This record gives sequence, C-alpha cells and structure tokens, in this order.
Amino acid sequence: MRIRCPYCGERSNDEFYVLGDADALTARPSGENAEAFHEYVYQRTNLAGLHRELWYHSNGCRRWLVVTRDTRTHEISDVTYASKRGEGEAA
Amino acid sequence: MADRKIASRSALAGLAKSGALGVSKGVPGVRIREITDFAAIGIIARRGRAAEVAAILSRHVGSPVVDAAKRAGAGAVSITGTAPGQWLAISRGPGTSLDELRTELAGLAAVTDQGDGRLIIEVTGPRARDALAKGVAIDLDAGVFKVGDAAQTSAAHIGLQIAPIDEAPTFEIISARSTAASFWSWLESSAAEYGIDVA
Repeated sequence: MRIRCPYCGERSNDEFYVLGDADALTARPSGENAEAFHEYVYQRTNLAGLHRELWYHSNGCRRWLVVTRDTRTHEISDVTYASKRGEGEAA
Repeated sequence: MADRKIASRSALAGLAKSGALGVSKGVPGVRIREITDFAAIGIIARRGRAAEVAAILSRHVGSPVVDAAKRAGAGAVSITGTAPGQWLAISRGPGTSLDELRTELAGLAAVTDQGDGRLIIEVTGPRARDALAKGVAIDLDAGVFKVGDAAQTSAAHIGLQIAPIDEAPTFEIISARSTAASFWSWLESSAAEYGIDVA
C-alpha cells in the first residue's frame, strides 16, 4: 500500500505507523461514567468501507496524517495533515 | 580544573578506510566521500511564521527557499526542507558557522545546533543510483528525482535525508551521526558488487 503524504509525496506504508480511527478520541466523556469511558478508550468499530485513520509518517516528515481508506480495497481517497482537523490551523 | 578541548572527529572514523572496497575490476562503480568540516542547524518555524523564515533563508542562501521537500544552494551553504515549516541548514568548510543566520531567525524559529549530530556523505559514480536503490524506497530516476529535489526517507530502517546535487549523479545523504555505523554497514554491503572507492 502506498500513501501520498502531503509533504513527502507517495511513499510505502513501511514508512508510517498506523494508530487507527482518526475520530475515536475526539469527544472525551466525563470520567464519572465508567461505561462511557470504557467505550471511549477501548471500543472501536471494525467497518467495511471508508475509514478515516491516523497515520504517523515516522520515517519521513514526522507529521500525523488523516488517511481516508476503503478497508475493502485499500484504496486511499484523501490524505490531510491531522493538525488541520477542525480548527483549520497551520500544520 | 583540567583544561579540556573537544576534538573534531569524523562520524565514520574507524569504519570507512579510504581506498578500494568490494569487487575490484576496472573503474569503481560507486565513489563515497564523507564531508567532515561543516556547521549545521535545524530550523523549526514558529506557528504562522514559515513564510518569513523562508524569506530569510532565501536571502541567506542566495536562491529561493520554499516550504517543501527541496534543497536550495549551490555553494557552501545549503538549506533542505525536512518537514512543513522545518529545514536543515548546512554550511561546509573548516571553521564555518551559521551564527549569523541563527541571530536573524531569533523570535521566528526554534534553532538547534546539529553540527555534532549528523553524518554527511556524497555518493557518486556510474552505479551510485543502483547501490542506493537497494535500500532507499523512493524513485531515484533522474527524470523524477532532480537536482533541487530532496527527500526525507529511510534505508535499512535508518532515517536519512537524500538529495541529488548534480547530474553525475551525486547524491548528498545526511543521517544521524549515532546511526553512522549501521548506515555504513548497509551502504558498503549494497555497493560492494559495483566496486567502491572511498575518498
């Protein structure tokens, strides 16, 4: 699989470290509800289709990226800097 | 207190002996030269200041420096993009310094001295590209990876930055000094079948 890094260009996935669901840790629940917190920390969907994932370009520009990948075909439709999520701030 | 002096020492001291290595038939396919006298600084622009930093770097090196994986500079000073808003500046030559540039960047960028932290080598010769292609997993073809381009990548799990600096081709490779022994081991093994000349 090859990932088109916005800075480095197309690179082998060997250069990256994958973390998983890019949106999983964005809405932190109150620590008082143990069940909700357990869901937040441990539970992940294992979907077949388009998946937004965090990939770290460890052997390149050392930037976290959000990669939109089809888990059925490995086809990648979008790659952006993770730092640009939501706020639109500079990388 | 004892008066101590820090002695300059090649990153490949005791590893790379000058002369011929690998097969010896005719002209060596790969020629390797270590650059030992240099100053180096890592530059990380503060948030929103990358364009101002690039302008100062351009003025300093005398050619356009952009916020991209490119290498600028044909003389003693070169500036290579390593990540968004980040560059590595190198000044070659005995007793050279980048202090003036560091002063100009005050307040605009975080600047760290890398002069004792890098291995710099130049790899050239008719089979240089073939030897490097055994471990560097980017397209090194002259039509794709041109003079002025640069890449942050790896070989044999060792992070490095590579740039073609002329059309011979000569590749400048900059790696962490702490991994010099592992890098040299990989390079020597990869180039051995073409014959190596170490300057």
